[in-house]
Amino acid sequence: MEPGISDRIIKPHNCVVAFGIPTSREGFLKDQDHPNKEFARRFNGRGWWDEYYIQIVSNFERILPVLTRLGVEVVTDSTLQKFGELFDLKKFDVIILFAHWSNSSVEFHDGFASIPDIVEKIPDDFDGIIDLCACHPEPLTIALRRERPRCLVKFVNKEVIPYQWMLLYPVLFTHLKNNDLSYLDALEAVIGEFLESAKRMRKGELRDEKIKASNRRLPAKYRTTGPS
Amino acid sequence: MRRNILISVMIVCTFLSVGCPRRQNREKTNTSANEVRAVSLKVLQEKLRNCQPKNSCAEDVLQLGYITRPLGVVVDEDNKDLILFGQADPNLPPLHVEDFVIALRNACMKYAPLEGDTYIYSYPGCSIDPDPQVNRELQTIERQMPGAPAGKIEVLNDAWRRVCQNPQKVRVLGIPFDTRFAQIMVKADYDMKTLVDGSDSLDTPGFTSLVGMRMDQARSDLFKHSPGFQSTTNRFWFYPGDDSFVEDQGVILIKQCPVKLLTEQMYTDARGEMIGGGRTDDLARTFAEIFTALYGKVAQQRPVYVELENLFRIVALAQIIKSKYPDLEAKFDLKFLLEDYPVSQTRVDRSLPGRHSLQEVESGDDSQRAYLRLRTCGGVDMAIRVKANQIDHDNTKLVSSLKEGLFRARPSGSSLYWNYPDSAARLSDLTSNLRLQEINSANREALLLTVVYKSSHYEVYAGRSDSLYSGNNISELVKAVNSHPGWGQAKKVYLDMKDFPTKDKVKAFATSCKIQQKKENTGISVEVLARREGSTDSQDALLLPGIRFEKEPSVVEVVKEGEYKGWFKTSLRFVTQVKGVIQRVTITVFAKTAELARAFLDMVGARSTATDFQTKSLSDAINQISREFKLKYGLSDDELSVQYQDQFGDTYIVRLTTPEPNEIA
Repeated sequence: MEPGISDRIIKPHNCVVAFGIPTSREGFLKDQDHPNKEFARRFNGRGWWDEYYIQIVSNFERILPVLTRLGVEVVTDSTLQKFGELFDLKKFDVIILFAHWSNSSVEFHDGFASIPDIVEKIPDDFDGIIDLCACHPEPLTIALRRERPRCLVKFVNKEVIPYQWMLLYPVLFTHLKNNDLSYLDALEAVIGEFLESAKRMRKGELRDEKIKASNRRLPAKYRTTGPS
Repeated sequence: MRRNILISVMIVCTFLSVGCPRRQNREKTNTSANEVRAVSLKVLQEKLRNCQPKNSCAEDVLQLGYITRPLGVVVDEDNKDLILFGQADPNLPPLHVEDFVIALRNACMKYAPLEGDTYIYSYPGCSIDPDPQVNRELQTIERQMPGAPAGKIEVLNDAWRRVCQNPQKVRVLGIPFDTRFAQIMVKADYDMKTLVDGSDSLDTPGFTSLVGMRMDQARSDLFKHSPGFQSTTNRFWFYPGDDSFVEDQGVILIKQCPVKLLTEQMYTDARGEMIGGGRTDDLARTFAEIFTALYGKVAQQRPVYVELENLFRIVALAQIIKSKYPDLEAKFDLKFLLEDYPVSQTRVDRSLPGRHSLQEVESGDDSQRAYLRLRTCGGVDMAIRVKANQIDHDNTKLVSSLKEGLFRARPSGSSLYWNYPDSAARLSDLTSNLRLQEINSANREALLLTVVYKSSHYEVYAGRSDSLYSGNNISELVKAVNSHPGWGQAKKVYLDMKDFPTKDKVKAFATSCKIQQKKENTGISVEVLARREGSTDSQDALLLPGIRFEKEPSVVEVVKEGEYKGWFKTSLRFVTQVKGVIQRVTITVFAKTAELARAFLDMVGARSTATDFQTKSLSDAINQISREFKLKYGLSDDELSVQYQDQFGDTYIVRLTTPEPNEIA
């Protein structure tokens, strides 16, 4: 009998990351006029594309080759239909969804989808992990808990800062590739390390590294030499 | 890998006084964890009124619908009825209607004699005391002992034994003498004396007779401090512990109603009367504390103590009913039960042979001999004084929802008893909460909380009537756990995972908690204790008091693989008792050096002989030693690891560290 997801050894090729949010300038511009989408428009008046590039696209472009090299499948412009098909393939134990959440629905590439519509796309027998990188998706997690009790749902119960998570996943998948671990154990270890690093940063130990790391992520015009 | 201790689920039928009740009919089957049985006192009264004159009352009528553990009472004002509810387990001694009637009549002062214009009230109780003439004779014998030659000592000892066996007078207070109620009290008291003197030995880890303790002490220092004779008389009596109750909308629920054993050293005055000087003998007090701490385990082996505890519970309910409804007789139609129902006669001895113990102890070189004489008297005092501040108001609506459920489940107004299938598991949650109270009052090093998996959220209970947290936000849940006021010196929290549908859900919850706890950085570690097939036995093996260390040669060996590869490990075996069944638990200690592993072993060996060690829970004993050991050797949290492993090989690892913004449902 196959071990449950909490004991199953997970490798990067068992995982897929689906992006419902735009990951390119074209997608971002198209979404500005989409009647059933709002995420891209949230950046109006806030630096618009530059801001979106810094927060989302630059990080996506940075992690994409890493994820691909590790063997993680990456799906961009994910529609609800495409999201559902990932389950039907029966090759992924962990399905990660980067998407925007608003008014009890998830914004996919083709627009908002309601909780019942999303739940319907997930097979009853899916016993893996759905990793929701969306802000406050609690109603969806409750629905999944009731109607798809075999799967686990990872979620964040507060505002998601996308770049933080985009930085975490490459480390997580590297950890999974190099060690025989369950997804939960790897997640605990990697988040633990991030917290430890954050503590050290607060103490000033990692300030220089932080500045260097930030600079690497930013377009040239935003780079800084930091305090002298 | 963290896995839980597996303990077999076995309930052993060991009834002495009533024998193992056979399942005689379908109704006698037990209520499940999520079921409660209710009995209408009004219908019960009607049935008794009809069947009693013909002596044709059915067993279910006489045994309160087969309830075996009363939990509370519900007021049905519309029907002027009181509904008693509780759990029904055919493997436990039954409750008897006449016991409840006696408790109710006692609370309503029906047995209080009128002297002049004053009713002389007494709570139910009993006492077994020696006659003053016996005391005087014993004094005379004991005065002759110092300095007497060996041959004379033997004669005096024989005389002492003979006089001790003279009948002691049995008194019954507050209720009629020849009743089953009185019989249980007297038997519990009289049998307790055999546990005091060791003539009845229990295989309960951590339990030691007073004579056993005294012999151990005598061997070590009697000859240094005493002339070779030691004679003590102690009074032991059963008394109510810290009672507490909850109520809401006419439902009263017993949160806890423990029985404790008290003691006082007795002296004989010039007239031969026994008097208490207000002092306690140290060892007798230790024995009483052990008996109280292990009362539940003793009761599993000697069911008279289950019956005694049930009497305390029904007396508590009767006292609460009377205190809440002083106009009980007008408010409820219970006249037949209170006035007319003839309680059956059960013969209770007016006197019983005195219990005593005389032990001879030799000094190590056989050059000296000492005699330990022990006499015991005692009783039962059910002085359950119900005060308003003892009854908490339940804010969770768990209690009041029980009332709605009980009324809804009643098949008809003429039903004597019925089961309420508590599908929302409210009673089950309440029961878990009550269990937490018991465990958390017995543990100092760790706190047990129950996390209940609901379809939309988690409920966290800490042993109070209301939940500590209710919601779906694990970050908030962990904060609520950390801010719980009951921490004391505890730096570890065990989470009892109730109703989690799969092992994966348990692990996911544990991971979320640990991540959050790491973020909180409080120094309090969180460990998850899953239930195996819904049973809490594995947790009880770890957290209930009463352990015995099995001293056997232990080896320290190098760890060749796994997380602790290159470290050293050693094993220690303990015995504990769960639901009357002896369980063996192995503790494996991992340390960075062989010397440290050996030193840990030595520390446990040295501590294990102390009485206070044996009355601790395994968790408390090992956590305390681990803490002190780390302090003594300046070790950090990650330099020593302790694993608990049950007799079936399942392992539970306890770490002292752990802990973000991640939740997994």
